[in-house]
Amino acid sequence: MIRVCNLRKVFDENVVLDGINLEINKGEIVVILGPSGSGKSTLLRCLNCMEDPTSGNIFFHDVDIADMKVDINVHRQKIGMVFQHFNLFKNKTVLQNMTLAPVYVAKKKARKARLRKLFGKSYNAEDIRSLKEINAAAKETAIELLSRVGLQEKADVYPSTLSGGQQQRVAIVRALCMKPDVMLFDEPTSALDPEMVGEVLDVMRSLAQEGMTMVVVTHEMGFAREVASRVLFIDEGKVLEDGTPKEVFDTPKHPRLQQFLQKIL
Amino acid sequence: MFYVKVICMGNFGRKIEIFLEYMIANNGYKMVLEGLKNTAIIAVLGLFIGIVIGTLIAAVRVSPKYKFIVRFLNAVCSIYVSFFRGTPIVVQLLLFYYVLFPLIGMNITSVNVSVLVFGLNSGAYISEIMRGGILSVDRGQMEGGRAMGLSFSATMMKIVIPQAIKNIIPTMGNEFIALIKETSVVSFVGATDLYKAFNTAGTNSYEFMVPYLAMAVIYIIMVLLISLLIKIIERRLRKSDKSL
Ligand SMILES: Nc1ncnc2c1ncn2[C@@H]1O[C@H](COP(=O)(O)OP(=O)(O)O)[C@@H](O)[C@H]1O
Ligand SMILES: [Mg+2]
Repeated sequence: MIRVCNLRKVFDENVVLDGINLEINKGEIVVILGPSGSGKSTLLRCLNCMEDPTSGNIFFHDVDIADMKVDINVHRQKIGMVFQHFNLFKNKTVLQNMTLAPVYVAKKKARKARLRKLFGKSYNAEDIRSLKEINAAAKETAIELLSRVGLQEKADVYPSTLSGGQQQRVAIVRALCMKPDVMLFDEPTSALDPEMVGEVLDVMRSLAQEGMTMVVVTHEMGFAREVASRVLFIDEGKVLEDGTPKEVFDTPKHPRLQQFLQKIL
Repeated sequence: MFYVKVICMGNFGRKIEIFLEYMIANNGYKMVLEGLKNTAIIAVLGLFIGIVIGTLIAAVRVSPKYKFIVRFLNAVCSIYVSFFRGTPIVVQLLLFYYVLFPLIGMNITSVNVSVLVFGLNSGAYISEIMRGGILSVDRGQMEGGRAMGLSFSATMMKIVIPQAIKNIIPTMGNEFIALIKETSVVSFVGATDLYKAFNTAGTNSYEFMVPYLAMAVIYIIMVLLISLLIKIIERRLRKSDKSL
């Protein structure tokens, strides 16, 4: 689903990613480990071009999205991202947070289809929907997802009134509203109080069970061991180890990884 | 000493009489109302135009500078801002009224030219305020929007700018007050504002003391009313949305 070829990312003089090659297949749950500052976030952010690669290619469904000529927004709509600090829209309610992007995209599609119809070109009849239909559909999806994470009563409150764990659960279902093909998580539990980590990991676990493709940067070793189908260890800008959780945790080969695991466990 | 004071007071009473007679009997109040109306029109429309222009400029100035068009617009905006912040507003008024519009062969009333110039001028100042407001919004808000596939401009319009506006409402209030006070120069191009109305009253009644005093009082009342309004708006915003 995602293929990374020879990805390099340089900030000023600082070589953060130095030739990363990586393939992520449908249904895989890939956990990325690495010391702080090793470029885990940078790698994750390159996957949806939140950071533009210095060189190399990122293929998403066989389209090179690192190419500046592609409309990156269209592709990002199918790549969900969850941040360490949630990044919920502060001026929108929980429900508005969740419906904003789906409504925006559907409106754009409807406008385009109507124009194509007007000029006698081929168009997708399903795209032509009234604003009312679009809003209703987005709301229905949002409420359904919200109730799945047990937050349906919070639909009309502002994010700042929620706890960290609740905010992160909203952030996850907000991303799911776009029906993404893959979800990226950048240390989703690092900013949470310890007692809230579990509720967020539970949501991620159930997402994994439903077969969502996931790429997760985390320091939760228990989660990695239990849920991951693959674990990557990156340091010095390279993927130093890539294997099943069993291989990586029980028989680490690279001395760097051995050191890292010793420090963490 | 006491005697002198009484004479002055008596004198002052007479001046008030002259003023009131001119205002009421000679229909001087009509010009004052006209002046008040024009002052309000120039300040309010000027502020409105300024907010629109200022927001657009600020958005250009914080945009990523990959594309040539953005760099070009950015250069245009910076020339614009330096011109309007770097010259006195009277000079700008005179330039537009006596140079620019005659050159392009357009007829424009002095009130309209004032609205335009005050709009363009406050646009330059508001762009700086708005830029500060946008930069004060957490970067994560833009990232959250972009990661969902919203464009830069859509995220700016729906997420970042609404939050920026909340942050800068007190500063915008001050800008509006400054604008009202500065409108007192529009008579340079012949527009009838408060100053012109009271100045005319003084000229026609050969008596300036009371008209200018009355003028100052009206300006102060306007400014106090607006300050009050801003306070109410601020309190409303804080109450209706605890998130900011
Ligand atoms: N926007 C940026 N500008 C300059 N340097 C950056 C930027 N983002 C990250 N870096 C640098 O890249 C390196 C890797 O950062 P990051 O990917 O955040 O590491 P990790 O997530 O593994 O802790 C760090 O040395 C950091 O200072
Ligand atoms: Mg990081």
